[in-house]
Amino acid sequence: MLRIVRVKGQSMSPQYNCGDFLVLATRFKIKVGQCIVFVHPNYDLMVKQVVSIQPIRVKGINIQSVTEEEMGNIELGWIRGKVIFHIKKGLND
Amino acid sequence: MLYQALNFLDKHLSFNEAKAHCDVPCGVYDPIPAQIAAMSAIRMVDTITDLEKHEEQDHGGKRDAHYNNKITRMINEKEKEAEKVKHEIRIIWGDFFKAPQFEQFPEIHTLTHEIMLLGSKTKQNIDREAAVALLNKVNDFAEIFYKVKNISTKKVTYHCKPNLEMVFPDL
Repeated sequence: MLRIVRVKGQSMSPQYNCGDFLVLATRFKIKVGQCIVFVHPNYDLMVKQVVSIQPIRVKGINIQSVTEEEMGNIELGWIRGKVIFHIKKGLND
Repeated sequence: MLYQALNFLDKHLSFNEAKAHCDVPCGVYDPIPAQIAAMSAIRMVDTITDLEKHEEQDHGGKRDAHYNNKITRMINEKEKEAEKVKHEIRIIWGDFFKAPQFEQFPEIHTLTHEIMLLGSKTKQNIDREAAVALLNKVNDFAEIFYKVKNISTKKVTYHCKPNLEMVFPDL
């Protein structure tokens, strides 16, 4: 199944910028390097990059991101999908 | 065109927002301001005590306008620095520490509460013991903070009076 979310914030910039759309696959196998969307109990719905699988740890790309330590281990049940398609916001959008 | 189509749909369907989260002030947390403030609070206790001694010994306890001016400023500064300790520690405990860190360091709650109590005691009294205990607890807090960040620490004699020990990151 597919799902669409909109990016808010800059912690995944320049890969994903504020206002971009992301198409997610909700069924997938987690791999290091993938960008996943998950619901964190302290930060709500987030998009970050997977850095390890056991445990599942993520990081933002931009230096301004909430850190890996602050987010802690990611529970499997928090994950909503993997980014499979990215629609960038244009200069005139 | 695809973006514009999605934008149109978003206005009507309200897609969820995935936060590429940037926590103001962008993850810049540091216990150093709290440690310096605790050191300053002790210094104020010392200067108040010295002023009292000086007033008794050299001015016969007259306590004129000059004395009142000095003591008022010192007390205000002690109040401000002790409150700063409480504020800085509250921010780190409330915003930086999360569930995984609380699991790893459950003692952080009691330690934070102890700092709040000692901060208040330092404000309420001219009590060097309480002010030094406050600094010691803030140093303990700093050690845990750096452990969360996997940064080793060292103990250093601070270069300003009252020249007491502080925990610094060993970078």
